[in-house]
Amino acid sequence: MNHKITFQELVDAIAEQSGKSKQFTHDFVKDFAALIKEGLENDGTVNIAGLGKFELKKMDEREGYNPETEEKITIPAHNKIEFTPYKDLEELVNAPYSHMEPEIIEEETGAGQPADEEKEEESIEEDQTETDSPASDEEPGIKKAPWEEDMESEIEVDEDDPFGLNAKHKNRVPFSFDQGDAGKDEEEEGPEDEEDVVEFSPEIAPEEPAEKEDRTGEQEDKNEEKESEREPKTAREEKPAAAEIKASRKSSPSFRDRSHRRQNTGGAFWIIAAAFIVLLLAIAAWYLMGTQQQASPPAAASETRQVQGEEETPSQDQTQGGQPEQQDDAVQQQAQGEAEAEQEAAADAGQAASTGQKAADQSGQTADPDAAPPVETITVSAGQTLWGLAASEYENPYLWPWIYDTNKPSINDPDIIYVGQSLDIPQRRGQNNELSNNDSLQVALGYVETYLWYKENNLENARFYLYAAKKYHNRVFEYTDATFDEDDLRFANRAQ
Amino acid sequence: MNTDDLVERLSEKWDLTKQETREIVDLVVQNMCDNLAQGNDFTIPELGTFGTHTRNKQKSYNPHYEKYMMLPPKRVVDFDASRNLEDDLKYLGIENES
Repeated sequence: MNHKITFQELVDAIAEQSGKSKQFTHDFVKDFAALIKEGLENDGTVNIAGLGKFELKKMDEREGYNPETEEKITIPAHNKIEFTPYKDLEELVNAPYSHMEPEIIEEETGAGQPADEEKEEESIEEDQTETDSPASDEEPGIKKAPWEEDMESEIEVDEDDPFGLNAKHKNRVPFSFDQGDAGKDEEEEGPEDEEDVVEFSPEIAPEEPAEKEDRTGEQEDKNEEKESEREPKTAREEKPAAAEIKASRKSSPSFRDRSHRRQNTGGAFWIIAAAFIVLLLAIAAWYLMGTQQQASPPAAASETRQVQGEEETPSQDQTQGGQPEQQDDAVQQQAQGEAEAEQEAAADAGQAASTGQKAADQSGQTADPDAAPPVETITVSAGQTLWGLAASEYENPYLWPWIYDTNKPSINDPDIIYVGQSLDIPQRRGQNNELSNNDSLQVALGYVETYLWYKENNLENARFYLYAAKKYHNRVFEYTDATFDEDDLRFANRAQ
Repeated sequence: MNTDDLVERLSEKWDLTKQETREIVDLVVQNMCDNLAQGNDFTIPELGTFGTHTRNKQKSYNPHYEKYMMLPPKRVVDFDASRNLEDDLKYLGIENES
């Protein structure tokens, strides 16, 4: 199939380009070859830039088989000369097919393949006998979409012959002529192929017969043989067509495969895309809902809060106002001036009672210690302590001895209260939830009780409670008949 | 052995400058390549025959994709070493070893 040029032709071309004599070039190229041989002898490899790499490859001894005598023979180890073209040369040579890429074949099933295959075989035979194949007659109907037909045939190949060894060759021949007409303009590489063909055809045609004879023994694939047989007999015009057809036919599978892949992956892609969009919409909707909810609740909450605040403040005022009144009712001895004095005393934590007020204080206080403050009964729950209760009830945890003192009968150890125990929480009787003078006294008495308990249990820090008692009410010691340790009393009296 | 060595040897033998030799060698190589690209076969005496043939499209299994791939037809370079060269080099290294 290839045009063979002689060594002299090659040399002439080189000589022409180099401007040297033909004789010189001839000898030079021969030397070139001799040097390659020498290089192989010495090094085993010869690299020629731009051309390729000659390599001496050692073949191990192996068992062979003589087909004539049908005897097993041992092929002794020997060297083989291999030539590996450089990538540039490979690409240059492969230019006509460079546009084609390997394609993934999807395994598909086609119907009615066996009949087609027979047809193909027939057509092959007919091709070989030089007559136009029936396929070519059938083609007019098929012409519209040559690639479709190719697809069908391809599918057949897949089923019949998973490895595509036999069917491949069969496929080629029948379609050659139809596509030559139909596919010419449609194929991408049509023009290029045509050019190549033009180059090939004039040169090849004359030499073809001789070449054919040489080749029959060679390993040529079926297709090429057929073509070589056909070419000399058919007119030259057909040859370009055939070559072109061949090229176009070869190129068509790639298109077909591409379309397959596009279809298959395309479906999945759209499904995924749709799912993704739905997801996005859902997220967007959720987000919008969330923002609306966030926007509305705070406004409403703030409104309600304001309302509550408005409602609460009066109620608080009422309770605050109410309680003192009740207390006043309960403790009728207290005068208003006394209440004022109580406030001041509370502010000073019982320390700042002025001498002028003492009389009034005394008059009230004499009766006060026994006057029970209003109580609120609570039930102790897990984790609560007197300290914590005082903190939550009075916002001042240091008032816890007051609770202890109030509930002294039921509390054995001021440090221990029990879950489920009900405690009476004395309420402050001063204005603005402050301690009244009486409350201060009672707190002080509570401290005294605590001191006594701690002192009883020999706790070192007991005296601090006495000190605090003195702090809460200056004259607390006048209201208790308990006896105090002198050192502690002295310590407590430092609080003035 | 590479092209530089070859050029050096040739320039010595033909009494040319290396540059000239290099140009001629490049021309030889280029002519060979051009002929191969055009689909011509040629034989260089004592070296071998260069040529091209078209490898059919073929199905092969790609283990990575776990699918069959249709490899496109490809035009590849042939080299058939000449009988003399082959015979001369056939038992070259092996004789030495054994």
